[in-house]
Amino acid sequence: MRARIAGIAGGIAIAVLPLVAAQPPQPPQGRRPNAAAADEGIPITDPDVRLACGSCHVADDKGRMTRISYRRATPENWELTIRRMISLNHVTIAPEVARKVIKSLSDSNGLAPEEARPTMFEAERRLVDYTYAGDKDTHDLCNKCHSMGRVISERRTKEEWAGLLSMHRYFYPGIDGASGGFRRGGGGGGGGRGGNAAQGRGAGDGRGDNRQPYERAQDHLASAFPLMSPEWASWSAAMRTPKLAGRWAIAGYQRGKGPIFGELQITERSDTPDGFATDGKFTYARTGDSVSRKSRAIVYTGFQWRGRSADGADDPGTWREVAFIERSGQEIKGRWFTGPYDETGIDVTLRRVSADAVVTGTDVASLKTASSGQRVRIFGANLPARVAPADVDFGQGVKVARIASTTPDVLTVEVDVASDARIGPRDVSLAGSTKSAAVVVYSKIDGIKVEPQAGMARLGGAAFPKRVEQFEARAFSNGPDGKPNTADDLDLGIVNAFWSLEEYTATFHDDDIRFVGQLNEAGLFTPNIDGPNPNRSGNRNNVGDVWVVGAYVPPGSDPSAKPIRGRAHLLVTVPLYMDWDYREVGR
Amino acid sequence: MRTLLCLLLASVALGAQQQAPRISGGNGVFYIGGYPNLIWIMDETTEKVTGTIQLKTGIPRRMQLSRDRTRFYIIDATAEKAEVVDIASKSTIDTFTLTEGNKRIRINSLEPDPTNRYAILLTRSGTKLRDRVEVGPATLLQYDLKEHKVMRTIPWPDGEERDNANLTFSPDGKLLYFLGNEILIFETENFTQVDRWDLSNLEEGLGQVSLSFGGFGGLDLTNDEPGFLTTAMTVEDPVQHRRMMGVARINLTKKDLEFYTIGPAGGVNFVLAPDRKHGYGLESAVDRYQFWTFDLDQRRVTSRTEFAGRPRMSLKTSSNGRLLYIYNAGATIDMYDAATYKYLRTVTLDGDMTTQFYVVPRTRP
Repeated sequence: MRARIAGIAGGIAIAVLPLVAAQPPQPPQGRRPNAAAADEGIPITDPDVRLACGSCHVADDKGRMTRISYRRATPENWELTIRRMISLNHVTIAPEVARKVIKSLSDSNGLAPEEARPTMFEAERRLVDYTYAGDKDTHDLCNKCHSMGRVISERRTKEEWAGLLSMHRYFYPGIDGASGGFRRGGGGGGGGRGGNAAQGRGAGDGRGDNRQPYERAQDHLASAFPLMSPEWASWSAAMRTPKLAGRWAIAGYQRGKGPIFGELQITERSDTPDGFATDGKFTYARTGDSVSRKSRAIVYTGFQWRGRSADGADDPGTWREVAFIERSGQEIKGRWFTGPYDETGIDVTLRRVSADAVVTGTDVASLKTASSGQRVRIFGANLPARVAPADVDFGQGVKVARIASTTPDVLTVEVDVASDARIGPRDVSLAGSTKSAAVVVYSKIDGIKVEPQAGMARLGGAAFPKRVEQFEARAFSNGPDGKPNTADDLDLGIVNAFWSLEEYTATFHDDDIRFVGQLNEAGLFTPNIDGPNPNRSGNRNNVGDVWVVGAYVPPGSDPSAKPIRGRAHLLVTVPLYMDWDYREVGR
Repeated sequence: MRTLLCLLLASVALGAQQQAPRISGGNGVFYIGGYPNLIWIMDETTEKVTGTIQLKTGIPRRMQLSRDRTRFYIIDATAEKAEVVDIASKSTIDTFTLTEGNKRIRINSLEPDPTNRYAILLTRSGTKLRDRVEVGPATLLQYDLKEHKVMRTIPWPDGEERDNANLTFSPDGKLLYFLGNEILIFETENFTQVDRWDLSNLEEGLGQVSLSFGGFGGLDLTNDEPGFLTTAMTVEDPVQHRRMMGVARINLTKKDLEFYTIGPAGGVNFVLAPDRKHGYGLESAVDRYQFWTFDLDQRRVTSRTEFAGRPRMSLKTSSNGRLLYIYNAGATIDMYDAATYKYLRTVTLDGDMTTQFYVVPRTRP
């Protein structure tokens, strides 16, 4: 992924501000406990899969189908494969059959939770700056064209990894050359395996390794992502339909709009294996706007929730749901998203609600020292009807002065913060439930940070849809050490900034700011129209890059003081002309 | 009255200035492959399209002028089809493919022998099986253009497979050169290697030498004397490890080479001017576009000037050497005065160019 989004992951918990883009966890490196068993292949017993795929993928006497049995993948990755079969191999398959095949293969040849967790950003359609740490050469080779998330969301035998790379070379012959870098061939009299690169002989990396780049990647992938793993052996034995029916509390965060809270009911669907439906409502804490939504979902591989809030082609409000069901069955985390490029999303955490109170978060992210009467709304479920100030605990230096109102899902309190309260995160406890790091106590706003630090928009409106980009400004404190950009910096939450664009002057005279689009007062950038622009030199289209600048004046500041400023880079690029997104797995 | 006279004189002077002699690139002919499926023929004098050659095999991707300048050999965008066109009649005289059934043969380069009897093809196969594909090794073939059959598979020198091959024949067609930092020389009866010429270590103390052959679209030897090849080189001296660029004039026939370093190394593409006494360079970094002029007799860079180039571009010289042509990618050719680097005008074609373009003089230089 070339652009990055510094996502505010994990609901509304406001804790230590990560000042670099969060890296998803790295996948577990392959361990092959039993190399002999590793290549045995997984029998395919589902008659639907046998029928749909069997004309090309022949089964042996053990039920192992060629290619298919020697691979495991996430639902999205299986969908990509089926799409490839349709587009490149002209397979005819009815959508309902394709969905059955994806479901079946995701269950029988899927990834274990430990294997899938590092790849969730791919299915959640997050724009993250992911670097695969397992092997730089492999990362560089694959990442030239597509996300590494696609690579690490599957497992194969060594022969199958070789087959995958051959497929790339067959369909995209230019990939061998400079554009893909699969082979490092020298020109003319140079070139050749085992030659001296310095003499132009092509192969050889100067480290004594004479394999071609694609051969090195192939070997690494076979070693790091083998067909069989202890994680899969364990999970495939334990896998079952999760028991999810019941009440769930919603806590989430949408960039530019802030935290959301609500509740939904999950019910089991009898019409679909591992199918569920939801009916819920949530509220944007900053504005009070409420959203009711229903959704339907399928759980793949026992833990991978894939749903959508509407399923009609004429429903522009469709939101997709990708979430990870924790093995405890008490928490579901993921992303709900929408937009032509899935660019608008809410990071969501669902917590199971039983008879006990659950605190899910607060509307404010930070509290200033030496302040009194600050109003805080505490969200949750089953909150007690009768609460005394002493029943609500904000930790050291923060005292609840008054209970303003109570409902089962919102408790409004007023708090005083001592002047000597230690700055840092505070847990909020009520009726036996604690939300950790729900608010941060600070003494001074030291700066603002514009998120995402590297945004991306896509031109549209003529032949393709626009990809908008939402920015937000978040205040931060330098933390106890008083130094910026250190691990103890404190994220104080979203603030209302004044927004503007500035020319990004890496190139002379391109005047991108005149062409790329508009940024509104809420930090939402809307790109200009796609296609050539006759008013631009060279008839170029409206692409470009600009700075997005946020300016903020903290409350109580000297009116003559200069605003605090922060900035981020915005790349405005061309539409995605070939859209290979996977959308079937949630249907 | 006096004022009127002044105005009259001024307007005459202005008119004379506006009608300054138009700098012509010469009287050559442009041949440009483009979309969809054609070659544009342009008269260099008028800078107008005077004709087209419609291609039968699709969008042209590589275009190779035959040694006698009567034909173009074209490889299409899929790299599976080749086409031979006769320039005089503007017609296709042959097409061929090596692809059969589920076995695709992609032709990555094609070099016709000087008599147009056969061609050397660098190919790679890809076979689509029921549930998988197989990609074969790069293979060098001698292909009979008349009989449409592979005459032989030429073994790779030392058994080492190559991915690219900049090939050229000797003027008499008796030798085939694999161009690279090490030039491999084959006789063309049986295609056995008869010699090799390592150019990477020319002199003690000079350091590692690296030569480049061909720019966008491959080799263009239009301005070189037959049997010669003038190109850019870079060296890295072994003591200070500074990289420098230079010019090498290679006499393939005599296996001789003149070279000299000329300045610090940069990303400069070199083209030879028709007078063979000058060369031009095109430096293209992010928002740093420069023309360079090389005086090959004086062995120095005589000037460098930034200009408003394109993020992606290639350079040709006009047939008289007075204009520089900037093309690639897109449908436009920007013309600059080679003496002053001043932008003059732009010619716009009806479609995007997909190959390099040839500027062929009416007479051989």
